[in-house]
Order: sequence, then C-alpha cells, then structure tokens
Amino acid sequence: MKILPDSFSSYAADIDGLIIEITIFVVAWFVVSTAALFYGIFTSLKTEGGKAKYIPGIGWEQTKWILIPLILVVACDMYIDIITTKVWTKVEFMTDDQKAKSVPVKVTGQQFEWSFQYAGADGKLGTTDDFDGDYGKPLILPVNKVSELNLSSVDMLHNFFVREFRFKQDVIPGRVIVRWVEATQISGKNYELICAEICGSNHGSMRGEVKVVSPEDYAEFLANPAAFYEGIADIKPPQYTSRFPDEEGS
Amino acid sequence: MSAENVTIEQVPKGRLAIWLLVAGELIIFGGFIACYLLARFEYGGAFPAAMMDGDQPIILWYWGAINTTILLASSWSIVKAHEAAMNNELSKIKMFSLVTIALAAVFLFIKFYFEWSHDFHLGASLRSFDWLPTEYGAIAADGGLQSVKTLFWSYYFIMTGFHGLHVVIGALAIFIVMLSASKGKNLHRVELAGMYWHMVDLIWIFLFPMFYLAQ
Amino acid sequence: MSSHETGLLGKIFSTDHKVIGKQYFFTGLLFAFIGGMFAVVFRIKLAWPGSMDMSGTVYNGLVTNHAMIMFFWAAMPVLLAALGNFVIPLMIGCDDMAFPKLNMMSFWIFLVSTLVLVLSLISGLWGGGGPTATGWTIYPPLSASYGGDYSTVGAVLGNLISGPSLLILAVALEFASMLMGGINFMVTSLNMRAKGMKFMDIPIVVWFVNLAALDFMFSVGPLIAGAVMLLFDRVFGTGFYDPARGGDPVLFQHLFWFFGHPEVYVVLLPALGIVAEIIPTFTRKPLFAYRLVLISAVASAFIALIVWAHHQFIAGIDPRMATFFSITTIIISIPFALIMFAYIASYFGGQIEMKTPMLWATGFVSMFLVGGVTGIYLGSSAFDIYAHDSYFVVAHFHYTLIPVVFFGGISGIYYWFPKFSGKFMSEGLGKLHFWLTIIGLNVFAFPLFFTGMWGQHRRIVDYQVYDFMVEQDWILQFRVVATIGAIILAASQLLLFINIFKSAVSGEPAGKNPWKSNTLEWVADSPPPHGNFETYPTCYRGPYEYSHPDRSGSDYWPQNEQ
Repeated sequence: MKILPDSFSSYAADIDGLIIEITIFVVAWFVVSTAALFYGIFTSLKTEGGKAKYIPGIGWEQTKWILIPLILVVACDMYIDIITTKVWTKVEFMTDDQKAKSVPVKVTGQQFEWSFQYAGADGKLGTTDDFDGDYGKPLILPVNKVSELNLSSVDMLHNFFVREFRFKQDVIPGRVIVRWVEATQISGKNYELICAEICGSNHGSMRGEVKVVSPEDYAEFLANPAAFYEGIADIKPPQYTSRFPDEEGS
Repeated sequence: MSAENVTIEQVPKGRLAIWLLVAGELIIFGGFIACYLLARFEYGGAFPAAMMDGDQPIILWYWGAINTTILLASSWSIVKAHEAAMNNELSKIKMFSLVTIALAAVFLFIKFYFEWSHDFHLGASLRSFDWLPTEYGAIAADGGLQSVKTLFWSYYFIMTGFHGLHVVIGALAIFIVMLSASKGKNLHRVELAGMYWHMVDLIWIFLFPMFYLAQ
Repeated sequence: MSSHETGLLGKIFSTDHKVIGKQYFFTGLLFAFIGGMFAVVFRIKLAWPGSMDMSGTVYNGLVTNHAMIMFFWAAMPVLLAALGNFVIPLMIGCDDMAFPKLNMMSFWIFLVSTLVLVLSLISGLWGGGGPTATGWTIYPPLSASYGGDYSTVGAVLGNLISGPSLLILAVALEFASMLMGGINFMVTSLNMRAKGMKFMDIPIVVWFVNLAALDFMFSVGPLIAGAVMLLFDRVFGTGFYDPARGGDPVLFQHLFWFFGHPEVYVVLLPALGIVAEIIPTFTRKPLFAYRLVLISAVASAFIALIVWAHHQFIAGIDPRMATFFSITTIIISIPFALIMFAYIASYFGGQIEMKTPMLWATGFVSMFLVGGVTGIYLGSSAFDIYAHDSYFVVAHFHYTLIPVVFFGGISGIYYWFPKFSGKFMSEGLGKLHFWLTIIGLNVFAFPLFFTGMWGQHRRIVDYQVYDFMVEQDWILQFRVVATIGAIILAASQLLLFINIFKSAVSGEPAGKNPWKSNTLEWVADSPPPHGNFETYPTCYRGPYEYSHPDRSGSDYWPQNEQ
C-alpha cells in the first residue's frame, strides 16, 4: 500500500522528507504521552483503604516532571520550525538563477475549467507570439526545467493542485500569483490537475491534466502547437458514478 | 442581589459590563478601521483621487469639523448630566440629557441630510453599479480609478453609517435612562449611558481625520 | 432574592441561570442532532456514490451547514453558554448571574438566530437559493455573488432573503447573543464570588469559560465588521471583496480566520476546564500545578490571536508572513503540551475510580492528544502546501473537535447531571455510550489521515471523477470504513438521549454531593432551587484539596468547610 503519491518534482522529495521527520516526532510524543497516561491510570487504580498522594504540583521538585518534557517539546518545536522554514523557502521563493532559466506559463481558473497560455518561442509572456492552449487538452510542461506558473482566476477562488508535484496554490481573481515547479519525470499517464478550493456547484468536476514532455517535444510543441495537440489525447471528461441533477440538459 | 455575598466588588457591575461592551464595540470598529487603512495603503495616491469630483473635493471638511464640535459639545453635556445625577438634581439630568440628544439629532441631520445627499448628488453611492462618473466615459482611461472610487465610497458609507447607527443607539439609551433618572430612579445608569456616549464620540475622533482631513 | 416564577410562561421566560442553561443545552442538542444527520447523509453518499443522486450544490450545502450548525449552534451553546450558565454562579457561590434579564435576553436572541438559520436552510422555497453551499468559511467571491442586480428595492430585498445572507445574519445574531452572555459571565465571575474566594481559589472551569468568553470578544469584532461588509457586497453590491470593484477577497479570509482560530479555543477551553474538574474528583488528588495550567491557558488564549494565517499559507499571502505564522502556530503547542502534561501527571499516585465521567474525561485526554500532535503537521507551512484543504485537515480537526465537544462536553453532562436533576445517570449505559463513541471516532477519523495523505481533498461530491481516487482499492475501502465509523458515532449518541430521559425519570437519587467533590456547587441542594444556596457559602481554600495531609477523616476538603 502506497501512502504518498509518486514524487515527480524537484522539491517533492523535500516535502516528503519533512512529512517523515515530523511523523517521527509526532508519533514519538504521542506514544510517550499515551504510555505515561495509561501507566498513570493502571498504577493508581483505587485500592481498598488506600490513600491518594497529595501532589499539588508546586515547586521544582514536583513540576520538573512536566517542565523537563516541556523543554524537550520546545526543542522539537524549534527543530521543526527550522526544517519547515528551509523547505518553505525552497518551495516558495525562486532564486535569480531559476528566474533566469524559467519557462513562463499562464494558468487561468474559471468555473469549472482550467485554461493555459504559453509564452511561445521567445520565452516571455505578454508578447505577440503568446498562444492559448486548446481547451480540452492538458497543460504541457517541459521536464527538468523550471516552469514559472502565473496563476490567476477570472471569477471565484480556485486552487491549482498537482499531487505528484506537491504543488498547491490558491488562485485568486484580481491578482497574479507566481510560483514555480520543476517536473523531474516525463509523464507516462498525465498527472491530474485538481481544483482544491471550493468554487461553486461543479467544483467537484473541475479537473484538468498536466503532461510533462521532453525538452525536444516541448520545443516542437512551441513551434507548432496545433500539430502537437493532434498527437496527444484529450482530457478525460468527468465520469460520475451517478447522474448529477444539476447537469440535466446541459 | 443580596449584598452580603458580594465580597470583592471593586468596580460596580454595571460599569464593568459597559467597559466590556465598549471594548467589544471598539474592536468591531477597529476591524473596519484596519481594513480601510489596509486598502488605503495598498492604493496609495489613488484614494485621495477617489475622493474627488474632478478637482473638487466631494467630502467637505467643514461639515466634519462642525460635526466634531457638536459631538464634543454633547460629550460635555452628558458629563454635566452625570454630575447632576451625582448631586441628585433631577431637573438638570433631564435638561442635559435632552441637550445631548438634541446635539445627536443635529449631528445626524448634518451627516445624512447635508453630507450624504451632497455625496449622492455628485454621484457617490453605496450601490457601485449605479456609480456615474461626472466625466462620463472615463472608465477605461482612468487606470482603475473607477474601482478605487467604488471601494472608497463603500468604506466611507459603511463606516460613517455604522457610526451613525451607534449615535442613534447611544441617543436612545440616553433617552431611556433619562425617563427613569428624571424620576429619581436608577441614577447610576446616567453614568453608564455617558460611558457609551463617550465611546461613540471617540470613534468619530478616529473617523474624522481618516475621511475629512487626510484627503 | 428575586421572586420565583410561576406558571408555564414564568418557567419559559425564566431568569434563573439554571433554566437558561437547560434551554441552551437542549437547543444545542437538537441542532447537534440535525448537524449530525447532515453528516451521515453525505458520508453515505461519499462511501457509496451510486446510492443516491446528489448534485454538488446539495452536497456542499450539507457540508457547509453541518460545520456551521455543529460549531455555532451545537458546540458554542452547549460548551460556552449552557456550561457557563450552569456552573459559574454555583461554583463561585452566588444566587444568579450578574444580569439575569440580560442573560434571558441572550438566550432569546440565540433562539431567534436558530430561526433565521432554519429560514436560510429552507430559502429555496421562495427562490432564495436554498442552503449556503460555499463551505463554512463563506469565502467571497463565491459567497458574495448573488443575482447581480442591486438596482431596485425589490432586488435588494431578494438578495437579503437568500440563503447565505440569512446565514450571515443568523451567525451575527448568534454572535450578539454569545457576546452578551460572555460579558455577563465575566462580570459575574469578577464581582460576585463567595466571601473569601480569591482568584487562585476559582475552579479551573470557571477560569476557562471566562478566558473563552474573553477570547471570543477580542476575536469576533473584526469578523463582525467583515460580515457586515460581506452582507453589503451581497445585498447592495459594494466592492469590499470584489477585485473588479477595488476590493480584495483575501481580506475576508484574514478577518474570518482572525476569529476562526480563537473560536476553536472558545470551545476547547471550556472542555479542558470540565476535565480539570473531573480528574481531581475521581483521582482523589489535587490537579497538578493549578497555576501553571492557568498561566498556560492565558498564554494560549493570547497566542491564539496571532496564528490565524496558518489557514491561509497557500491562499496567496506573502510567503515571508507565512513563516511568522508557521512559527507562532508551532509555538502554541507549548502551552497546550504543558496543560496535557499536567493532566496526565494528575493521574499519578491517585486512587482512581473509573466512573462514567472519569472514563469520558480520560477519553478526552487520550483522544485530544491525537488531535493535538497532528496539529504540528499542519502548523508546518511547507507541509501545508501539500495538505491544505485535504482530508488530513478534516481528520485533524475532527480529532480535536470531537474530543472537545463529545468527550469533554459529555463528561460534563455525566458529572453534573446529578446536581441538576438530583438523580444519577445510568453507569452501564454511560459506559456503553463511551466505548461506542470512542470506537466510532477512531474508525471514522483515523482512515481520513491516510486518504488525505494520498491527496483526497475536500468538498468533492463524487470522487469517481478523479482517477487517483479510484485506482487503489484501499482508498475506496477507507472511505467506506470512515462512513461506517461516522454512523456508529452518530447512532451511539442516541444512548445519551436515552440515558438523560431514563435517568431523569427513574434514576437513583443522588445526594447533595454524590462524587464527594470540593467545589461550591455541591453545597447546594440537588437540584438547586431558584437562588441556589440556603445560606451563601464562604470560601476558605482552593478547589482541589483532595487527600490533604492536614485533613483527617475524609479524603476531600470542601471549599466552604473550615
């Protein structure tokens, strides 16, 4: 049984490592506290004619039993803060080097689909050779290259979530949020693009796909998108277990 | 409430409750003020422009100044009413309470009749879709000024309106307290109504520079 | 002493704090039942998607109102209003609240809020759009957009009587009621304590209810402002949250969570307080480190005000700001760790009698640990990139709120029921209820950690749409298991209703002090009459002096005995 999805981005392993480290601390503290609780209970059950000890928890002699563990908690907290900040800084900020080499893509969310705009051959958004991705086709990203995602929305809040990249970002109308991702694996099966922020009645079917291709394929795609799109499959239309009453007639 | 089990009454319970109520109200207004200031800092110079009709200011500082004076005067009169309550001078309580209520009425009249109707006349309105810029057709060319205008007037009307509501509530409270206090009952409540009234006054002291002076 | 109310009307419009407490309590139970039913329905849909036709709107409506009702109309009235009303006057030894009429008014405003809530649920009847389906966070622009017509009085009225607008109004009324109640609690506790009761003689639960009321008051103000603005956006078309009209949708998230996080502690602190009363009584020894527990709670109530943005790590806030909030969030584990350690230490060396209240209190300590430690994960901003809005979050907050509301709240019911009815509750039913609840909780919430880790995210009516949600068998099975757990959890609460009514009719009579406890409420008759005490008690010592070496003859030393 696999617990986490495959990690196919340059920082996915960092986040996975963070999860494992936190899990070690959390499980250890949980086991120790629970063991202490049950030890306390089973050694202190009522006995015939027994008398409880009067322990008000005053003074270091008594409070050290909770203050020393507390100091350990503080130490663990500080350690978790440090490793969190490290990973967070790596994921959220782009270095100048990354910025220089990145490939920009514009991602726009709207009820209830995603649309993409590519920079074209010059590698810059906002120029004349920008082109819109076809509706019904996946987002195309190059492998082993930093993609700069310019995320925005035209109506509601949405959330751009790709499990394999460990990438999740709210998409907000009225502003462009820039984040980066570097895919590390050419996708066999397309990665699923999920809207993870409630955006209306059909939020549950706001699904897209991401296709990671080799640099050669990406260059081919930029040169002739129409021909490239013909060679790849459409996004799978939403399939429901049962009919949505909302969808009748549409 | 029997007195013998009350041991640690440093602050009378009514006064304590009003302090807490005032704290709660100030936090609500604090929320509004913080949001307004955030928006104002975000837009920088666009906010002063949003307050203008062409090169004429829509919000006229002198109305604000007059209203500030009126509220300060009403604070004075409610203090006099409290003083009268402490000296048990019933007719003075009634007189000064009525003076306070009258000043509140003048404040509201200026606020809503002179100012808001003036604003509406110049096209400022809470309903942003009805906003008609005086220079029609300027929407595309104004570089987002239209949306900043909508936001500014939203804040202006909601905050001054919410404050106006508190003026009404405070005046009603003073009136209700006056009815019994002028008969010699519940004299301590004059002070409580006064405390609330001072809070209403205090909030205006924040709103006045924000909307009238910092243009 | 005020005159006794007579007749039916006098009983309904009573100013007696115990009657008002019961009114809050039973209203809260009713709404907990409704909210629980919503959860059972959508859990069934999730586990067996083919079993019913359900649109996304209906599903989101159920989810949204489940959260809203459980939080604002079940947890708050029971754990804050009902508990505070029941115990504060009795435990500090006075006859009633400082402002009995205000107290009655708070309840009636609360009742009006429930009516507006019901109107919001049925607003589909007059074309008001039906139940709110925006998630309980009611984020704009989804919650702010409706109709789009603000030009006529009729259109504005139509906007006002639509589901979400009514829900916002209902929440606002509920807040007003709780604010008034909170002011009443604080004034009562400050001014009306029994002769001799110093600050450090006040029982922890009274402290914690007051801290909760104070935290509520400090945090709710900005949200009231924010809710007024949201309502104006909806009804009049103002532009506070609409980027096209100059506003910013993230502003509402800040206002919401500035309230939303302390709000969790508003229900958590009273539950921690209840447990702090029960543990000493049934271990027959003092609460470990009363002062440290109190200081920790004050610290946590304060830190709660500066952690809010951990709900928005990836909502588009400045990443540098997120680092600050990540650190404060992890820091808040320190006071709570201290409280939990002190509670665990209280067990050591005691003479523990596992009566039903103690069983529930112990269940609280042990289950709340799970909720507490998984909070560390979510405080970590980098982990939150992956876990935000996933079922990991769902599992985490159900592991905090179910121990708080169910275990904490229900332990209080079993503990104080003899006081308020004069009769014991059935031990056998109580224990069965406990074991079914704890099994239900774990079967329900534990699998969700794993589905969340796999990437299952919230507010999706039919996971069939996503390949990754169906390609592995275990994830389908875990969803079914979670639903079975939720059904066990919900169904076993029927035992509580049965136990309450059965015991009220035919329970064993309990004397004044059935648990041999120290605090002042056990001095009054069971049930206490209007006015509570025959003669007002005087307080001589702290509330937890069990098995004191200077006391011979009995292992407890009531606060009012010299």
